[in-house]
Amino acid sequence: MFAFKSLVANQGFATRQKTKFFNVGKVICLPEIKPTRSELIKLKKKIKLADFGHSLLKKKRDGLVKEFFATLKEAKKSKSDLTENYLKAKTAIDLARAVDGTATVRSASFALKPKANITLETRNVMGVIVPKIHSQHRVEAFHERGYGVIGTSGYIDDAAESHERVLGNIITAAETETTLKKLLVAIDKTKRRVNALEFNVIPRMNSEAKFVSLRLEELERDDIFRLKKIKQKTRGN
Amino acid sequence: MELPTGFLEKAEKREKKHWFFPISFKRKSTSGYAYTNTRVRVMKTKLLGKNDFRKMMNMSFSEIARYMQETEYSKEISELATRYTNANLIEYSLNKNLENTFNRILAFSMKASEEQVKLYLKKFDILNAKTFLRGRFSGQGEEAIISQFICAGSLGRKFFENAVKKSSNLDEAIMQLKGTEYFDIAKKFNGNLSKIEDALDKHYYRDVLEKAEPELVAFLMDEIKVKNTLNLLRAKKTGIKMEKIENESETKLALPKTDDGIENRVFLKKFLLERGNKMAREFKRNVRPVLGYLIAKENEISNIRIIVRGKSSNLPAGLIEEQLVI
Repeated sequence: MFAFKSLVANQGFATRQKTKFFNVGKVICLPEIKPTRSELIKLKKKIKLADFGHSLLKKKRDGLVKEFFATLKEAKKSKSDLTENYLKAKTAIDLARAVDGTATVRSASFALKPKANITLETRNVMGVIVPKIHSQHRVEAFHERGYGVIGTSGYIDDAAESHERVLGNIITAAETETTLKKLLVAIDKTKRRVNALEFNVIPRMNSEAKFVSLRLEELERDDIFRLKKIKQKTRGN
Repeated sequence: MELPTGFLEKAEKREKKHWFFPISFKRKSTSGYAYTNTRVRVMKTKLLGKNDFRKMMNMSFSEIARYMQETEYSKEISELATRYTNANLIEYSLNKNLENTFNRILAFSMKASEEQVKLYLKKFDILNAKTFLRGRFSGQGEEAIISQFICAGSLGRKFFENAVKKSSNLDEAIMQLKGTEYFDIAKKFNGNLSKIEDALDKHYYRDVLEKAEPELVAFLMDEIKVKNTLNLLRAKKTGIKMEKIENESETKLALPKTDDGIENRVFLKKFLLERGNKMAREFKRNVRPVLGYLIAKENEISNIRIIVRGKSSNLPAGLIEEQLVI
């Protein structure tokens, strides 16, 4: 963090630099920095590192945005599939309840085995950890669902099958939407870092380096002037 | 005039006390069909007609609910109004009415007619036994299982409610069936529920075909044919090769389409129910009129349920109408 000290506006260098630093009324703030050669070397190193970091973060941001749009396509597709299949499943179960009766449909649903076996893994996208959901879920054949074949109807099959499809869609949608959310947070974070480097950290360090080098030059000129004066005085004597 | 529910049982008790009570007319018939069919014919006049269903089709859901209050179902609707609302109220009332009506027929039917009615209504025992086993298999709550029972068979509501209360898993549930003909069947398959269910269904058909009169056998053979055709279509849809069964001419019925679509299902359902409705119109001294009534009553309830459920869940009017057998 940088601490700032106040200087009066009409004092030498500060007046010339007033546009580059915080200007509060007539008071200008300058960074608390020692105008030494070692400080300049340190600053130059920091600037180089910041530039490198900036270009890396920019590449990361671009990569994340690219990945985001690819995932967005998938998410849109999975969402529309989910909506479409859900509507179909709702119609199928409503029809089954109407034709076979709620008691029969609910009774058949009691016989279904809980099967959605899900394993959760992670995937690394440019340093962002996103979930990868594996499920052994599949649409079962009517004789493998758990209920008897003779006492059930095609309407119940349709309702069960369409809901199995919806379950598959929910798993896919959960994966893509979580990835999307995580990518969005990561993009936002990276964007803020890139902007901070581009518009705050690097310009500030540049101006600090400029300030230090100008100060050093001025000190050099002071020294030369002083030396010349001493030389004149010694020649006059 | 129709006797109120439970009248005959009460009368029988009274008969023991008072020998002069005129209940003896019930005992004169040899097969019981004349008496049972006459009473059933009276009950048939109270079934909803084509016009009633057409009227209901043009009503909104709330109008249907109000209309139902003016029909035979009003008693059950008032009874269940505190537990259920909307379409659920009507559907559970329909189930309750079916249960009450069939139990009433069982109560007043006698001799051969009673036996045949009992045989046909055994399917509700099978359905309840399956619901009970399924519920316990997936660990459902007591209320969730009990509310799905339609106790119109020989095993009463008390039997199933006690069985549900005394068991907590499939093995215990099977043990609760001890004493019934279903225990040995359920025990045979080591907890494989789908096999138990199919075995129970097969047992029902075998048992009924063995004991039933030719008229009931003929209807059940049609039902089996329809079920086999439907299951063949289901298998075909899944891609299971069933050439052996398909080639058997017995199982074949001429269908409007070749896939397991709604058209075929509706066609087969209509094929069976129309036979039932035809039987209900006959004046014979055999099981056909009473069987016809049982089927017609089930069909009426199915039609009302289709309209009510369809309207409450905004199904297209064409789809609802397609499913009705009027």
